[in-house]
Amino acid sequence: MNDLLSVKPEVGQEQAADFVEHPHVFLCGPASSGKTTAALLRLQHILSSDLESYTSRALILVPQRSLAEPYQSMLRQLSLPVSQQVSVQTMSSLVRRMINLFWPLIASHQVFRYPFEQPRFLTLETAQYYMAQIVDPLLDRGHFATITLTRNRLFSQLLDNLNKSAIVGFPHTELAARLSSAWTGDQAQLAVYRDVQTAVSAFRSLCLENNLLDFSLQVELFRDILWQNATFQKYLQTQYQHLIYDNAEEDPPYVHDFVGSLIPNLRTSLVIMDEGAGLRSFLGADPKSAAALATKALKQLHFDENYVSTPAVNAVIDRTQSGNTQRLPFPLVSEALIVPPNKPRFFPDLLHAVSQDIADLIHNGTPPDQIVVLSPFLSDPLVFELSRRLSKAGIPTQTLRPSLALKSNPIIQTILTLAAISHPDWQQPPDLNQTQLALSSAIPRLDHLRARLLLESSAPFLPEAPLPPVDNLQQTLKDRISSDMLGQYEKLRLWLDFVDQDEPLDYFISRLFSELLTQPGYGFAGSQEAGETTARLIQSYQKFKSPLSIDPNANASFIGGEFYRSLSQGLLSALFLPDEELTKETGVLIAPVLTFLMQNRTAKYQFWLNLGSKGWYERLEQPLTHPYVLSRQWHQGTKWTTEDELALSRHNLERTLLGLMRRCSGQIILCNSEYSETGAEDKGLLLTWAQNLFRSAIREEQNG
Amino acid sequence: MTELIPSGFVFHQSNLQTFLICRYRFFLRYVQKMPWPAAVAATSSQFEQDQAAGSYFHSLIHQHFLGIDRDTLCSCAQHFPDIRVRAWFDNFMNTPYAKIRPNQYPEHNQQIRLDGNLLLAKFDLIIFEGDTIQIFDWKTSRKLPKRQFLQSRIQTMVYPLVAARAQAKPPAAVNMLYWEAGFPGQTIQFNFTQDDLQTAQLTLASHMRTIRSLEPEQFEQTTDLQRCALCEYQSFCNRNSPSWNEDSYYEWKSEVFGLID
Repeated sequence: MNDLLSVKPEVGQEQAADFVEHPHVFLCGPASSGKTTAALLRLQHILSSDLESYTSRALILVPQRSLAEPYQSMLRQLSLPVSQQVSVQTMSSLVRRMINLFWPLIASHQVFRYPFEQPRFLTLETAQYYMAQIVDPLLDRGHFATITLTRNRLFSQLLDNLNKSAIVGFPHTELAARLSSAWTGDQAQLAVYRDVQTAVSAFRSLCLENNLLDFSLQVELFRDILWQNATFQKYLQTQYQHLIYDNAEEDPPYVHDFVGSLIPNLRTSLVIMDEGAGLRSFLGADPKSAAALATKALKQLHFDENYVSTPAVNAVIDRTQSGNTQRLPFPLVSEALIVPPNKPRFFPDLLHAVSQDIADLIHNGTPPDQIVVLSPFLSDPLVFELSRRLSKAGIPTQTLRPSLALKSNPIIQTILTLAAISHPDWQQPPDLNQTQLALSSAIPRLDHLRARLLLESSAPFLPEAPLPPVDNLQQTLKDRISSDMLGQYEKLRLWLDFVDQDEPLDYFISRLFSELLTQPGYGFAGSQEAGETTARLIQSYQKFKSPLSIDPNANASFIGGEFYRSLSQGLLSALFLPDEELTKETGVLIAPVLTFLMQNRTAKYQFWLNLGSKGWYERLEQPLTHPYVLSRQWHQGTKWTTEDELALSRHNLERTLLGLMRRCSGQIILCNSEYSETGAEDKGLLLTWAQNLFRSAIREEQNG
Repeated sequence: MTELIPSGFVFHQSNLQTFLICRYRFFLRYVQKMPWPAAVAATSSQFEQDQAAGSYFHSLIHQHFLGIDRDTLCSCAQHFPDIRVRAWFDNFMNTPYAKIRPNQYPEHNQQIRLDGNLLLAKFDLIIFEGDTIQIFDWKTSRKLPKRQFLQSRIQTMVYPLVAARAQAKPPAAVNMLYWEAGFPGQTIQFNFTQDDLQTAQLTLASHMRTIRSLEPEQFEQTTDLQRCALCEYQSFCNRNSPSWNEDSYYEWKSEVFGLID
């Protein structure tokens, strides 16, 4: 950051940074053209000259927390008392905070059945839990019969529909009509859209009955009640005098509406838009709506220069832009894009070659954090195998995945299995394998074989009473397991036996952890990882129980059982890590393409994997929703055709390619094997693009 | 080499109090930022209820100062599951502190640089009247703390110092009032002279210097096991402490929820 700020700014950057001369600026330009650097300079000027006033404050607004990192980093490094007067927010965090703070204003509108009771905020996952209460009976009655989706995907698409109506700004009661009007295929799908409408409308009623606030309702309350309220407006005006809004193109229209009406009341504003982005369109990002904010500015600036990419990569960028068919010289193309001479047959061989290439680069002086390995999707085997190979070569890696599966963590599995054993009220007893694994993990000296023998020794395994008392074990088995181990086992069994069924699960986990599992001889003793993971499991449970616990009919045993059931069914699948944990590690980055792009960072070497995959450009199959038909830019009544789909794929690919190349300061290595990761011979549009580029370059060379 | 305490580290009453209670707890919580399951004693419904009620009460007062009408707030207080909140709010509204005046800032954060370190205070309410600063801190203790106890708290040094030093012109007087919602008539007020502020400044600067000077192994565990009673790292340190008492509860609550309550 100091480096960035010590570089002499360009004229455009100086203009953007001058908040006195140019109080309201709209700045547009492609990635890596110095826009955020200009914003940092502007913030620095504001900090040093305008926040001296006791009440003057600045708001930094970004679509996603990872995009706030340059600002956070600068504030940390400048370490100024006035840094406290800068608030870095995403719109969703701002909306939630404001609803919480101004809840009495909302209460007085009597939207909810119990308006003066507290709001119960839902996360994506707890919203899915409540959606399940609505949809499960519908599924039993035969609704959504033609749809083959996992339950959590079904729930998340239904919630996505509600979210789209809120962030775009149309009534949720119009969802089925909008989706149906664009549909061109089998008429049976229209019945599915009617089911969608039934489900989302019932879900909304459930929320209003119980003070439940999913994301869509939060946005609607903010927009329709708070934003219209004079007390709230007055508060906002006293809170913020300066605004820097970065990556506006990645936000949905309701944020642009908010910012647009906020600007006239601010002393200064800088809105930044990344040209050619809008990577989160499937989540409702709307670059056209963002571009309209230019009309609110007194000064419009456009940056063209790419400060990151090499001339060779820049030439390929120019060639890739729509409508550009110029042929590039072969040496230039092959300087930008490396095609390894040997094409491995199978994917594991490709990973072997990639890890060797990375080792060579590092051996020749490239810092590991200047290397990224990118694929449209990151499978567990890919991450595991590549990390293992690089780790073997002594190379650190960092994996960026937005979430980790909660139930696949062995520490969490152990705790949850022991919880299920000690809570027969839940009526969800673990099976033999789960119990065996949990026992071996809780008592490390009790290996899998002995644990299984112990569980099956006195009688066939009974899930309802899985842990036999030591006294009931046969003598032959007792002879095979040391008395120490048997003692530990019996202590564990008795501890689990005497659990109060009405004890809240978080208290239970805390006690299990401290009274037993961290004691000498047990599996978590002295393990920092176990402590951290257990703390996160408790946090996850507390988020889950927060909306449920107000319900007088939901006692501790019920909530614990529902948490366990939701985890087992995959409804609560994610363990979200705080941002600092995603970014603090350094090493070779292994990330999905979109996640990397949304980090807004650059790298010298980019290894692209799974080149033949359609994941580089195709949208996810979403039979219950449609991000483009439900967008503000869609003309109602128009049909979504296969041509639209193809055009979208091409647009997505171009946007992704340009985004990646503009963030590459060295070379891109195109990594392909004859058979892809899935074992298929994929031939997607990215491969065609690369082949065309090289063919035309070869022809150019032959002609020249 | 990476600094143990980064230059942008923000000191506040909560982490400084932690340091005075147990250096190792400070190290684990604020340097290593290590999450750990809460201590068994700290996981009880009373703690949860106290935290929720205290936090909601603070919100109601904040909302009052933001201009939301009293009847609406009373309805909200009445519907809060913990009946103490309604009584607390009524108590508050019947005090002169509920009066809305100019130059008052509820839930206001202020930061100063002291001896090269950032020091933050989060005021429940701060009022500027002429060249006098009045600081208010709302408390929701089950037992009324003694004046001496509050006087010894780091908070009673940090708040007036930050409030005074953040002004371009030194104020003539800085007063801090602790108001206990359950004991509305028994306020405890501290009036700070310039000498008091200077003493606070030297003490706090000395603490911060000490923290910055320590190597990881010098962040030692407290020898007073009573202080471990509610500490989340109890199992990490393999400490079986005696059960908690009112003092350790108050200390823990103001340390953990110091920035809320």
